[in-house]
Amino acid sequence: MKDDFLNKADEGKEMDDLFRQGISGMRSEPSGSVWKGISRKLLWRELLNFNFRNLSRSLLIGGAVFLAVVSTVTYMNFKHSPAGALNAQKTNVVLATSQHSEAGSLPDPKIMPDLAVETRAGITGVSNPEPVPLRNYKPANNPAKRGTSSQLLAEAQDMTEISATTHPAVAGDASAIRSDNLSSISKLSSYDAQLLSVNPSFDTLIIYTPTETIKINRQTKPVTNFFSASLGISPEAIYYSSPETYSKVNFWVNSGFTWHLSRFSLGTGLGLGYVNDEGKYRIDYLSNDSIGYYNGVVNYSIDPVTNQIVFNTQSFKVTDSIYHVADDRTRNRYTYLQIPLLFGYRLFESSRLSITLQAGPAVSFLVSSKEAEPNISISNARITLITNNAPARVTTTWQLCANFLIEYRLTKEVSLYFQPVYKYYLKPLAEKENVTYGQPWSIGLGVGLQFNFGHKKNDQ
Amino acid sequence: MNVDDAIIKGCMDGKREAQKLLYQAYVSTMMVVCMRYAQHRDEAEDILQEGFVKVFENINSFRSEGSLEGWIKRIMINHALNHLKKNRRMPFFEDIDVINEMEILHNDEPASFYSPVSHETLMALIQSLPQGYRLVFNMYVFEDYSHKEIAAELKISENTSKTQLLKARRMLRNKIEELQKNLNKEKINER
Repeated sequence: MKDDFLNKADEGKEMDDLFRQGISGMRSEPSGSVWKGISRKLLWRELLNFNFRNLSRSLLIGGAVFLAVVSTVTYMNFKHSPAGALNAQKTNVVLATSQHSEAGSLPDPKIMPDLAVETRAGITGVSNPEPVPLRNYKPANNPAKRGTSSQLLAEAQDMTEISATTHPAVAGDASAIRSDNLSSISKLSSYDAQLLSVNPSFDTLIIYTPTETIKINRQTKPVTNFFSASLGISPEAIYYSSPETYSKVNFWVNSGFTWHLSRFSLGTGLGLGYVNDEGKYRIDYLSNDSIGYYNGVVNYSIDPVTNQIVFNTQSFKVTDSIYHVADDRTRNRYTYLQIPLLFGYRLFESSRLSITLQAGPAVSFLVSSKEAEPNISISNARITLITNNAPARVTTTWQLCANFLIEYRLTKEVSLYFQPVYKYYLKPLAEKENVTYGQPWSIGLGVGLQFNFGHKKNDQ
Repeated sequence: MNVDDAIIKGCMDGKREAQKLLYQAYVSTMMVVCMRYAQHRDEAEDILQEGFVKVFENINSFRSEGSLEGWIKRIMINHALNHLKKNRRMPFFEDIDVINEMEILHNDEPASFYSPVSHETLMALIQSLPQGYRLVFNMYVFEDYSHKEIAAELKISENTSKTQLLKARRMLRNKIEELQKNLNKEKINER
């Protein structure tokens, strides 16, 4: 009985065929939110599994260009700095030395010439044809100098840091000298900064003369290191491209927080954008329209003279329900929340004015949308269908932003800023089936106040 | 449905435009597959969405030797089964022993259909089946699984698979007959 029953399971083929054939040609379209969900999930997965190889070629080229520009600016700045100039010229600077009057208390003159570091032309001294590198100098190897004080030894060891062997510009053909020319020492002091900037690892340069020991300390360069917060507005014109090209003006309220370190900065913040776009509706409606007229008999009378019937007529309008299609454009408002991550480099700075180039990515989230209803002002219209042809807004968009932050200091703590901004959207802002939208871009001008906190100077 | 190699290549490169084109090419057929397994349209859309995400994530493993549609369909079915397993909605409680055999044998006569039944009606009938019946019916009738394969996939016995199929057929037949009666009544009333 049981087996019989189970065999029945293979019967009922007609039922299977009915369903198999009945559903074989079936198609069903899901709602538009399915693709949005897929797109959003794929984006998140791409972000989580970010790999430079996934980046498009154009983005990589753009990044390379950006890096090249930043590198060039940095290099130009370095080249015009004292250290850069010194390195670039590779001229000789002489660290003048001489014998000390008190034998045994000074390093061997044969050693001292090797303290010569890079010098500028014009400072000369007695050349020492065979300078002995100081790094090879050991008091123990030179019994005559055992009387060298520990302080002097320490100084001498410090000096190895500026010996020719550690300075590439001097190594090789630099004519190290032993100098009795004291005038060169006074000239030398004007180059202290350059000398010390040759190698940032030492702080003091010591010069021995017959009468005194001159110490030149590093002239420290202050480095700014502070936080700033900003608040401002930024009207921007956004250009939408294909399939229709048009532009709209949007408004942003931006708050930002930036960490400044020397000329570099890293900023983020929150921006609230009030974005407007066109709403497009197609309205199918029927209305009672006149399609002609006819003369209808209203009454009649009998002419007493001719005794004929006179028909009195009246013109009647004939209307019919006519099908119409109308388009209505509305104004849709969207609110976005934007979070940027901007890397900055201060190109110019004076006591009052500074100009900073900032660039980086930003992500925007659609937080609310207000799509206006179509305005139908046709009398006697009976609407049969309203179709919203406005494309759906993408909920998460990524942009690349670049701006010049022009900052004018009102006080030490408060600045007024102007900020021309360029944004390029990595994806279209809207999507619609079977339509490919172009990526928009925008330009804007931000204006606001920047507040500087904890402004301090760090010695390098 | 023809999807050219450029679209598949674009999908492999992770290009969203290509992914959208692939989606548009197969979404309507895959939606039907998902609807067969789901209880309602919203659930079908959930399965479809996750299924397509898996398709795009695994598109690099697709070898052009077979049909792309078949490959996508296989992913959709697997995902539908996983979805139902994850949600603990595979109630195969009844085994052969608890079935009223006589009832089934008496009702096992072929049903007659006089009126064409629409796609939507057939789909609604499938969706109205209890989950266990629906799964086995789908796998056996549409995916051409054998009872052995169904048993292995759903981790049930072959007998359970056969029982579920038999009961699904019976339930569908009853529903169609009921539908038929209603249609006949309407026709009589119209006259």
